[in-house]
Amino acid sequence: MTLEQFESAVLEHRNRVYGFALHFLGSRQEAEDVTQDVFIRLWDNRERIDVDTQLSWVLRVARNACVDQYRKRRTRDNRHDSSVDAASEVAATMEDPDQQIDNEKLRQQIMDSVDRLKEPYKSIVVLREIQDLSYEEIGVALELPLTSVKVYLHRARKMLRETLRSAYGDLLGGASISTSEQTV
Amino acid sequence: MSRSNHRDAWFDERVESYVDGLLPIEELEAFEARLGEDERLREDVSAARLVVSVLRSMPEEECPSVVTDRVLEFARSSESGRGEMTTFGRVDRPAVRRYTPLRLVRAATFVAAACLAIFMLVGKDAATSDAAYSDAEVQRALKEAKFALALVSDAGRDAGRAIRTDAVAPVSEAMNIVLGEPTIPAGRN
Repeated sequence: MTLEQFESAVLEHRNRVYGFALHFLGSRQEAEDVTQDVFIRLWDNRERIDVDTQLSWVLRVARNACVDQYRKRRTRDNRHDSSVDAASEVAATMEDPDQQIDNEKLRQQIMDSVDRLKEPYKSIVVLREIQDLSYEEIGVALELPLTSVKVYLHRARKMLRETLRSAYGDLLGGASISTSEQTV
Repeated sequence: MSRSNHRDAWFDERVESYVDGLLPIEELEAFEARLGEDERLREDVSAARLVVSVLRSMPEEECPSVVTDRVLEFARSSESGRGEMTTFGRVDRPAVRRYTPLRLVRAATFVAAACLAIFMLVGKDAATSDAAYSDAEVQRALKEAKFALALVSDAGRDAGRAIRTDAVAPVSEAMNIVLGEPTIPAGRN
């Protein structure tokens, strides 16, 4: 890979890598560090990486770096081990049964639930549902068979759905859910 | 598992496929028939729709240009032989640019020294000479004073940045941790 090809690769994939790291880690500073490290690694390995496999390669390295970073953070800060269930927290805030679901609360609730997913569920949800990668691209990036990607995604979405259902319960029953930005 | 539970599980397993519009036609009819009479299943479908709707509406995050600038600068200098090629994790990979306490001390020292030099020059001239100054001398002195002030200004800006990065930001971050307010990306707010 020449310098020009490397520059093109960085410009082409930077948002994808940064977005993945940001959604995975929830911290802009850590996402910046991971993104920088991923591309330095790409440069280090430029002789061995085919242009066609760049995206899957950088995503695989990004995912591994995110997992490492996440583990380090959990060692420092075990806030994710809190026994407080986020679903019950949200439910507790909804004193009025007629209260409409707040968009920001809903988004935060779902992202918190994504954050609590284990691997590879979390990476697959971010890559498929947020970053819109194909099953094939995800399979190559995470080194998983296509069927496994589909099964993991299905299970992850089911887990997210059940968390949401336990939090919002009856409000989901056929009633329209109004949000501040849009009706979903 | 009872027949009823088994049947519930059959529908439950198809909620995500139904939301994605991927149910085969023969299953779709059965699913929609059940949907009409099963409130719990309707809640599941609503929850599944909400999940994908929220996730798919997340804004695309843009990587700050400072990150790519650092990486590209590193690659270019490495390519031109000005830098040592390194591997991930080693000390001389490009670090996030931070103002270290040493940098802060240097900047503060420079500001103090520059101010002292200006006062000494002005004070010395005022004390040792009572001769009238020519216009050219006054102009030259003014230029020198402007130059010195520009240097002081640069150093002051540098010191200000260092204080923001090294003192204000960590304190703010620590306060967030103490108050239990973790950093949340703006996109999620």
